[in-house]
Amino acid sequence: MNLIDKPSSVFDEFYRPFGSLFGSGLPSRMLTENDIWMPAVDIKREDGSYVIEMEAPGFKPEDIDVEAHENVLTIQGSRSSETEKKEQDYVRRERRTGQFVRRFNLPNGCTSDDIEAQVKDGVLHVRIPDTQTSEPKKIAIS
Amino acid sequence: MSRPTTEQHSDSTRAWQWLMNGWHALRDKAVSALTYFSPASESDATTSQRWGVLATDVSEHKDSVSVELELPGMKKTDLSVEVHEHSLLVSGEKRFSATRNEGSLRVTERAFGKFQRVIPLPCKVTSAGTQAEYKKGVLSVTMPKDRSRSPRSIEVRGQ
Repeated sequence: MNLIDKPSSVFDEFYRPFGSLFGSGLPSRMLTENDIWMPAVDIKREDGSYVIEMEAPGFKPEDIDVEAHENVLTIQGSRSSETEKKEQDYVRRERRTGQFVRRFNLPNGCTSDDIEAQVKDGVLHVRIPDTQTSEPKKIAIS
Repeated sequence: MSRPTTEQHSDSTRAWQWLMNGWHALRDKAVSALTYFSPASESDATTSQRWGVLATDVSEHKDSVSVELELPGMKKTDLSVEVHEHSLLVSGEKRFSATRNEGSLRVTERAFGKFQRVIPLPCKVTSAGTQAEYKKGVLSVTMPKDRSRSPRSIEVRGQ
C-alpha cells in the first residue's frame, strides 16, 4: 500500500489561506490586492517523479527562485512592471506585479538533490524525482 | 497546537479584513478577467478548472493602443486575434500536455479548454498595421489608432 498516493496528503501546501473556502472554484490568488500572490499550479505524477507546473507568464528564468530545504519546496519570484510604460498610460490593469510565493511539503521519498526546473511559454516546470517508488527502503528489525 | 485566545481573535479579524479587501479588489479590478474555459471533453472537465484568470493590461499611447494578455502554456497556432473598431477579441484553445491523464493528477488549479475574451479599447483602432506577438506566455497586441474619419458634426434640431 502506498500511503503517499492519497491525493490530499501528497503535496500539502502549508501556506494557503482560505483556499479551501472556495473549494475547487476560485483560486485564492485573485483575492489579494497588494499581498503576496499565488499563481495556479497543477501537480502530476510522471515517470516516477512529481511534476509541478506553475503559471508564470512573462517571467524570465532569473526572476524565479526554486529552493528545497528540509522537505519544503519554495517557489518564489517577483516581476517588476515594465519600465517603458508610464503609469498614466494604463487604462486597464489586471496583471499582477510584485512578489509571489508558493510552498509545498515534499512527500517522503523526494530528495532535494535532483530537482530540475525550466520555464517554457510562461509555465514553470519543476520535476522532483521520487526515490521511494523505485527503491523501497528496508527497515532492519533489531 | 494551542494558542492564546486573543491571538486567535486578532488572526481571524485580520483574516476577515484580508478577505473583504480581496473581494473589493476582485470586484473593482479583475472581475472581467475571469474567463470561462470550455473543456474539450467530459474527462477534461473533471481534471481542470472551468474558470481561469486572463489577466490583461491595456495602455494607450500617442498613436497606438497596446494590450497584453497572460496566456501561459499556449501554442501560437491555437490563438486567434480579431481587431474590431473599439474592442479586441482574443480566443483560442489551451490544450493539455500529452502526458496529462486523470490518474496522474494530484493538484489541478489551472484551466484548460476553449476560451474567448472581448477587451474594450479606449478609442477607435484599425487592424491595418496591428502587430501581435506571443512570448513567454504573454500575448502582446499593438494597434494603431484610427484617425481616418474626422469627427462627424451633428445638426442640432429644434423648434
